[in-house]
Amino acid sequence: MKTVFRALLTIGVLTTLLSGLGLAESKPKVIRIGCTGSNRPIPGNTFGILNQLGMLEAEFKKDNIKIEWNVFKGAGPASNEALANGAVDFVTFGDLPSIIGRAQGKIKFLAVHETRRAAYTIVQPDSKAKTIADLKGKKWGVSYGTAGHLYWSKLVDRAGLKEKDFKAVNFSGGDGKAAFLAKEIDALNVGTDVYDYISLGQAKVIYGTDQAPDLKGTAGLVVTEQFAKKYPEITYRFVKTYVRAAKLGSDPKNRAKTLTLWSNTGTSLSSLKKEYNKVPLALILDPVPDEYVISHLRDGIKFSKEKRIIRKDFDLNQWIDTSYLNRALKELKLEKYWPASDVNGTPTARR
Amino acid sequence: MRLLLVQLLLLMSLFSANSYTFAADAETEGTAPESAEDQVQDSDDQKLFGTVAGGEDNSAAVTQEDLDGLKSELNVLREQWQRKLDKGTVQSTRNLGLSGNFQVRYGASGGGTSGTPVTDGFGVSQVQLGFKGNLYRDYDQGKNIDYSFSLTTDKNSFTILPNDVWLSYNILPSLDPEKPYLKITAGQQKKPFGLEATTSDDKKPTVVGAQFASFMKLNERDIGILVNGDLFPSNDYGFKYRVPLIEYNFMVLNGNGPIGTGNLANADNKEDLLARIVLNVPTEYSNPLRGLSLGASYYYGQKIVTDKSGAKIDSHAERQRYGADIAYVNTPIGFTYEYARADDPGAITVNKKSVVNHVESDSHTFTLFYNFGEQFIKGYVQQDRYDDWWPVSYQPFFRFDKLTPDTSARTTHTDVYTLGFNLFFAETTKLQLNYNRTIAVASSSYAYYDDAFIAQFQFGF
Repeated sequence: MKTVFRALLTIGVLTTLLSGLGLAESKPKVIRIGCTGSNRPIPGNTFGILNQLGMLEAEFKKDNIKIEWNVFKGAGPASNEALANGAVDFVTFGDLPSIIGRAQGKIKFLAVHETRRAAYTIVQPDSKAKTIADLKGKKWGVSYGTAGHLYWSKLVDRAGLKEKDFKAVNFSGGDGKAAFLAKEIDALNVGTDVYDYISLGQAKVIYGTDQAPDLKGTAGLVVTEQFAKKYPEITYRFVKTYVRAAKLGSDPKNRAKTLTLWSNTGTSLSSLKKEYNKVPLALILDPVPDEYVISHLRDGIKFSKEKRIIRKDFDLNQWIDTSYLNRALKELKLEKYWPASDVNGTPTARR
Repeated sequence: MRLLLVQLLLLMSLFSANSYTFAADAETEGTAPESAEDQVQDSDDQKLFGTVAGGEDNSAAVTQEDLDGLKSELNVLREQWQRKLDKGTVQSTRNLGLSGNFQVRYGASGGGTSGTPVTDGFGVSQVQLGFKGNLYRDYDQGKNIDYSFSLTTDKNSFTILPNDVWLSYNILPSLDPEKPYLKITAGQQKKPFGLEATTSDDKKPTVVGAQFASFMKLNERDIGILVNGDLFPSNDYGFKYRVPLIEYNFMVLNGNGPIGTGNLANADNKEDLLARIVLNVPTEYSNPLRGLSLGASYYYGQKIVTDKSGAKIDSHAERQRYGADIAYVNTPIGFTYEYARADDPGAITVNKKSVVNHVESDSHTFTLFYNFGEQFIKGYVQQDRYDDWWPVSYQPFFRFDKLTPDTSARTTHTDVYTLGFNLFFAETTKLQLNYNRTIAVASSSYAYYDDAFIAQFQFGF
């Protein structure tokens, strides 16, 4: 027994020393970021600008704080897993995974990462399907737990059908694309890379957010409550740098270069140009959660609860914390830079 | 009328003030004049875009000559690739994955207790080479046919022996996480008894396995048919986490051990049976009870018992094993506890006559571990990176392992206390440091002590 006790005591001491429990730090040694990548280890949208221009590295260089980028192939579910295990501090991910993450964990929604995210349902080029109903009984590639899952779920609901009417096949990362191109599945949900499929004659679109703009997605920037509480000033500086990047990307004179940066994620420049044709990037990169974003998130929470994707509800107002964002906007004098979109997404000037 | 006109004009001005203009000078609309500091920040931020391509008017069109040059280069590249594929690449007629697992070890023992597994000095404790793949892939429902063939070395003689030699088929669809899974595997494979015996070497925290696994021969492969599956799965899609309420294993096997141990045929002409059931807590990913499971295992077999001269006393003497286990595998802390009991027939002499005597043995194995790092977070390690990357992770642990070879003489037992530390520093590589204190108790007042230090470098591909 004595030996057992001594051994356990030794482990306890070693563990305490290694984990540094009880040692307070004024600054973290590293800021760990999680985000989603498709083909390459480069994120898109505002994070893509931050990552490729090294803005966070420059901001925190004088503090000797390292920036660690983690680009997850597993998208939202991988980000949630990393958050739950304390492996990342800041994350950007889509509406549904962020809702799930909040329902189960302690994270704050700091700012919007992307709004009006397009989604499309594609079928094989020789498919006879023209509507969602035509896909009944067919194999449809879905990434469960991602923003695409919410789009698909709402789409099926809107068509007056049930998810069980289709043979949903769960894919993550690039597996869905590979399965579709190998003609192993009949339909797949895609994003801005839809034009790559079409230009190569690999698919045709039977439905998309062009026909149903309210199905467009939203992505957010979140931080763990633990990190924000321990390092409020670091959190603020992170958000401020984030806003600067969003502003750079929103500036019309930087449009071409911003799209070029985003093309480094693996989505072709021509696809991005088609997707954002006549769409001001300021609308997409607007970091402020306005009525359009809030109503979308509220609707997402309600829908997820009804579909039992989340087990318990939560108050959106308790989740969204714009204190850091508002301070950054004020200091950068950008309070009225971005429009305030109403519930329908119509932009109006901020007062 | 004038009042109506004024009101109309006022309304129009109000409307035009609310509309948002996405013009090139939109950034100046409604914003306060910038200070010098703000202008410097804007200028610095704008300079960051300086080296990014795009924005210029590249109106020069691609010429036919450019296109012909590109086609020619593509043809050259294709020929080079094909040549390399034909001459410099291993070919296979089916999907094939090659893997290997190697252990290089150093041990130092204080000596003393007989039977200690530690030999002072360096050694290559294990070499394994495996071939695994897919014979048929069912894209529709995932009813795949997979195979595995691997070789290993005997720990004592370094003789190369077959390890896994099996074929498996997914009876039920395996692509839908909402549905239960069911698989059948035929050939030489692990026996699904308890935790210790079913954990692969690369996932075991200790260098030396628990005593009961070798004593009760549960860590040996055997030849047979295994049916395993699960029931009532629950899914937390937000974390890509699937956990079935029940997992089950049923196996019919020879019970003579693996190929190469001298008994290819089923010596007693009777098949042994093995069953295992595991209950998992069906929770969301973030629930603290995630990773908690209870398991029970049972093994029934028969054995030929011979006397000292080799004459058969009983051709079908029964032998049994019972096991119960509880595991909590979570991050960062976890533990496992396993109880195993065996009933083995042997020969004794009573009144100058050889008779069968049953000896019962049992064991307790408890392991407590703590993980630092992201080694065990599945989604985290699947990252896109340009460099060769793997999270460095640390795992200190403690194990208590007690074996009582004859429960009718409980004062004789062997206890092994292990204090260990595992360092994971590459994708398939870890360094294991174990300190073992072995206490072999021969009677309540007499014990041998042995302290041993083992360092093992385990790597694979």
